[in-house]
Amino acid sequence: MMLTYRPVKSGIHRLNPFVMLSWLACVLIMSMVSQHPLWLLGILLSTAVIAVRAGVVRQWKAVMKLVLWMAGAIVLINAIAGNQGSHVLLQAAFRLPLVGSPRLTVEALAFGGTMAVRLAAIISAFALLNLCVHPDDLMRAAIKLRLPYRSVLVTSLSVRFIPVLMQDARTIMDVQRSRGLSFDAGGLAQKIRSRGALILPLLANSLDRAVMVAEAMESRAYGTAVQRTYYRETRLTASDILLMITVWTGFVLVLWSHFAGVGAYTYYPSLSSLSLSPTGWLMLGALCTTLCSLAAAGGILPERPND
Amino acid sequence: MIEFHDFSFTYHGQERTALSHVSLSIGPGEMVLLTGPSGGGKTSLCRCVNGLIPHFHGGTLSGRALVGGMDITEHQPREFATSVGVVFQDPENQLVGTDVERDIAFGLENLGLPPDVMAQRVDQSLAALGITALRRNAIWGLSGGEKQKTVLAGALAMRPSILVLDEPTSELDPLSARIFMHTLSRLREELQLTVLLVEHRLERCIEYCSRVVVMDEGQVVEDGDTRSVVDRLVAKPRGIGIPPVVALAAAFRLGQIWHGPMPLSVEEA
Repeated sequence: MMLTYRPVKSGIHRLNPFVMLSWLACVLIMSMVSQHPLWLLGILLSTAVIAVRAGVVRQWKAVMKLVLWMAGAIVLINAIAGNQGSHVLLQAAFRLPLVGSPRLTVEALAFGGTMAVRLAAIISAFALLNLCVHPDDLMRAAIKLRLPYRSVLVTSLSVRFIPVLMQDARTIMDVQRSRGLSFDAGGLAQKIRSRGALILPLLANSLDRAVMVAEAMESRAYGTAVQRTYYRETRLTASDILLMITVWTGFVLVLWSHFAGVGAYTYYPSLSSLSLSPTGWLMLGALCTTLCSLAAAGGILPERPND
Repeated sequence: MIEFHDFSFTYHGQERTALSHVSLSIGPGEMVLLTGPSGGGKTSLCRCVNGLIPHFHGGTLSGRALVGGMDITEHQPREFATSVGVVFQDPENQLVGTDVERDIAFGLENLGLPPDVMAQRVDQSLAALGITALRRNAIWGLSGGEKQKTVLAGALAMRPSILVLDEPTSELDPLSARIFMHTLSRLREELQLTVLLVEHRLERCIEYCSRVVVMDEGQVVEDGDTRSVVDRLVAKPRGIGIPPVVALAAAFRLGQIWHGPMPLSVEEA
């Protein structure tokens, strides 16, 4: 459950969900657009700042540990599959059809490493959104964005019932174990067969639950033909709009930089220099400042209405 | 308030009749205990009160059932939502929100009430059940009893005139069950509620109910004021556990040691 919402009293948790969604969108697009390793590192570090400010470092670190494995895999696959690059570290003595003689180059390693940083930045941003924005706030934001209420409710219910489903699974496993079934004994086929003793009752339980939840919802006027209202409305305040403008300004700057060639970086056939032009440094500073603006603003913003 | 006239119902695909020729009338402000052995038809009867039978659980029915003057065959469950509050046995399956106050507000949102009215009703329901301190707590962190109270608060927020509670103390220890029943009794008086309470642990609730209805195999087999039904149950238990204090008093009566009215609680004894 490392990615579920953590009710921490922090400035980041106080932010409007639309501000957080804007921040996520900007991190995503900036990560996709940016090529320079330092820029991507800057984006990743700015998400780390948000994690510290939100007081969810422990959960964020757990996610990042998983990302490290994925990053390792990306670097490895890229090093094996990427045959380009002029600085060869190792070259195989055999040839493969289509690929030719596999070789390990500095450029392929650097490219894989940069891709891993990009992935880490994206996953980090998604993790922080999950950890810092209440699922109901996200649901309301999604409804405001004109997503169908039913779909949003189904998503919200799925999140709500994950712990219940896990508890059910634990109970069923305990029952089956007490009847002498071992989930870890035997070969792969035996393990798959024994999992059936968990999955089938779990499925039957879940279907029963679904019917009972529907029954309860129907009893509480779900589907009444009137216009649905919301207990807590998500309203954008002037400071929310200002924050969103700040975040999007950073995005516009990155986009301008991309098309103006500022912060451009080439990996093949050989690596460009890591050094940035003064404009490049300025843009990197602006990018990090705008992305970290949430960390500063969250602390001084008042409690949201209804909170 | 609640009227069943020769009402019978059989679920789709089942041969056994869930409710068989039930005739029952519950007036405004009554607190009725519905009890009986498992499979006796208690839950099915509860489902009829807000129209889940026949609209949600299809089947064949005969006879007539009126709740607040509305025929259950002609009105959908959601139309009964403001007049009938239902609390089923397992609170886990009735909590839709991710935290306590948002769950209580779920039904009010469905009714399209303005946010300020919702806030007022949520506050009142939380206060009535004594769970104001839990308002921001996540549902998955609540104990069974807290979940039961949250579900009841959600039902009360709809301002029903009828409350149907299907084993509401199933997740509670004896002391919490007693506190819950005391709260329920107080709320019934304050809000002028008609309460239909399903429970097979008579010792938990019998002293709070003015009338007892016993169902077995889909039929009403006993119906009367609490003391007279308890007297009859002592003679013929019908698969129901008699409260220890009643059993003790019955034994004293048999031994000519006790001659007074049958006590319903230790305090009365």
